[in-house]
Amino acid sequence: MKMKQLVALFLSASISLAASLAFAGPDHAEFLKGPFKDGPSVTKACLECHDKQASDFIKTPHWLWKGPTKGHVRGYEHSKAEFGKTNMLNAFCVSVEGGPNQEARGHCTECHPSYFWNSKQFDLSDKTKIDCLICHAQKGDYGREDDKITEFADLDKAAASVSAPTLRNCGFCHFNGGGDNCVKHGDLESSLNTADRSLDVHMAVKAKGGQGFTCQACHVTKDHRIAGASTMMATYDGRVFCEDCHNGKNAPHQKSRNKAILNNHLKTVACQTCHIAYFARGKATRMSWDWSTVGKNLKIPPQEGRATFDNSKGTYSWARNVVPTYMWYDGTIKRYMKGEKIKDPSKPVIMTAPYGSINEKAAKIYPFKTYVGKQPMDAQYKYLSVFQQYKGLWDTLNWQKSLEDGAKGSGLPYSGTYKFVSTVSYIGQHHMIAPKEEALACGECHMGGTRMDWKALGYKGDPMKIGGRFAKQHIRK
Amino acid sequence: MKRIYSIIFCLSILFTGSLSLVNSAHADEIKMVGVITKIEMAADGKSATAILKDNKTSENVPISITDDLTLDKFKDHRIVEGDEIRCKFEKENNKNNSKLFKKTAGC
Repeated sequence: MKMKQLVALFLSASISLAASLAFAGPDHAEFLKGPFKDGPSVTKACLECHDKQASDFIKTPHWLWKGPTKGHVRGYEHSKAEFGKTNMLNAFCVSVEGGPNQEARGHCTECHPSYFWNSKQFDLSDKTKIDCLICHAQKGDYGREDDKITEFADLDKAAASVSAPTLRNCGFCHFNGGGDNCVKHGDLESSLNTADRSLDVHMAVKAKGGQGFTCQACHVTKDHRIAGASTMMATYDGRVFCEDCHNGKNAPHQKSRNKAILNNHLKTVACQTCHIAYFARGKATRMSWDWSTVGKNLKIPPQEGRATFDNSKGTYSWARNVVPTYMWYDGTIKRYMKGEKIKDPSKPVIMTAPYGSINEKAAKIYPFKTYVGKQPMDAQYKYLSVFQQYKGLWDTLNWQKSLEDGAKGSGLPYSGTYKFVSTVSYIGQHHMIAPKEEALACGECHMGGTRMDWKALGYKGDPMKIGGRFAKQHIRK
Repeated sequence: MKRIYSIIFCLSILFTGSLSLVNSAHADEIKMVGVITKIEMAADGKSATAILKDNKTSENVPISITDDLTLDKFKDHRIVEGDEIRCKFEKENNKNNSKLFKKTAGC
């Protein structure tokens, strides 16, 4: 072998090794040998080298479950208050604050990377409480059940296997948002662990034609701050856009014969709108949750093979391959915040909705999951109530008691009377990008296509016929 | 005296042997995590077989379930095909009898 070939071989081997290390990180089996008696003892070992990373992490919304709104929530642009999962309400399990000592956290914080935030008394400045393994362990069946590590876990194997997070790590919480697989998100669920290209061109494994992306390939992470904003949440750490990668020589539609027309759409239409023609393409997603039927004895047939009623949780509906709702979104949201008065309880309370309109240049049309609910509000004080579900309503079916205990934990007084109010949430769909062959064709929206409700979007009619939104005479007043 | 010692010795061997037999008759508990690929309910609704695809080996393992709580979850579709399960089972009479059958996540 010639010298040149040897050098080339050495160089390529070095680059491969460096690339693999950069992606997965060094093998920690040498450093974390154990035996470890419990989770915190693993963390203690991690901190010997990663104290800075721990210090960084405990400042992030992933740890604090709150943060500044950074202008994300309309009406709170100048607020100094911090918001997040810890003090916001949603239309799924509603709140983590229920219980005199916020006992509901014992279940909800199964998804908090700590040992264990299961009451009001938890020191968020204590780095030794971080559960490093839930995000980094790849082996040893590591997992959590409520506020304990599963008895299935082999801590020594788990510790030795740590690496950069995989889809499974992030998915433990994000695939199960809302209390189960594919409940909250129509575009994130466990099918992605083994997806082929037809489900998601990015996250599908390479052997099945995908790119093998991990979450952080797009949700770029610096100092444990993970970029990405949700239409559900008030705070975020950086934004993620398709154009972060699809720009310059990777700009979209370059090989398309309709390149000019397609690119003209980009001023008004988000990439997701054409490339997520349907959501819940893997498993069915929950489309509604009615808490008012708790305690009843209903016999409702399953939908999409999944339960539609649970005596302790209420009634659900499910759907697969759903056509999204299309709405204008300028990157900010209207969000119901704790304690906010409900002006007209006869109308659905908007839990979260994108902000934007045809008149705002920065806004584009995005796809959303329309999720409806029914949950308790205080009949006298006119705000959505916090109730204690875990170790409360789910066992007792007693609304009065669980509302009283919800008030104790949340600090939101309960008048003693409640009623149920309808809610609606518009949840952004950004994942499960289909192959380009399955993107929307022109006729789906234009030339008689019914996918877009042009009038609801503010157009007088199909903009293909009457001109785009920048032709102002065509905009509905 | 020698005879007594040899009898005690023989008895102790017999006793130890019988203990080991008892142990081997008592099945070991096996833990696995896997995804349900199929659920088959018995016609009388009093038992079910779930096929779990072992996350580690990708092997399909049939699990027999007879506890009412899990059967109820099958019946009303709170546990369905595609769910990931933490399972403990014992091998008895060519069957893998479930001792614990829980979803890895969810409320």
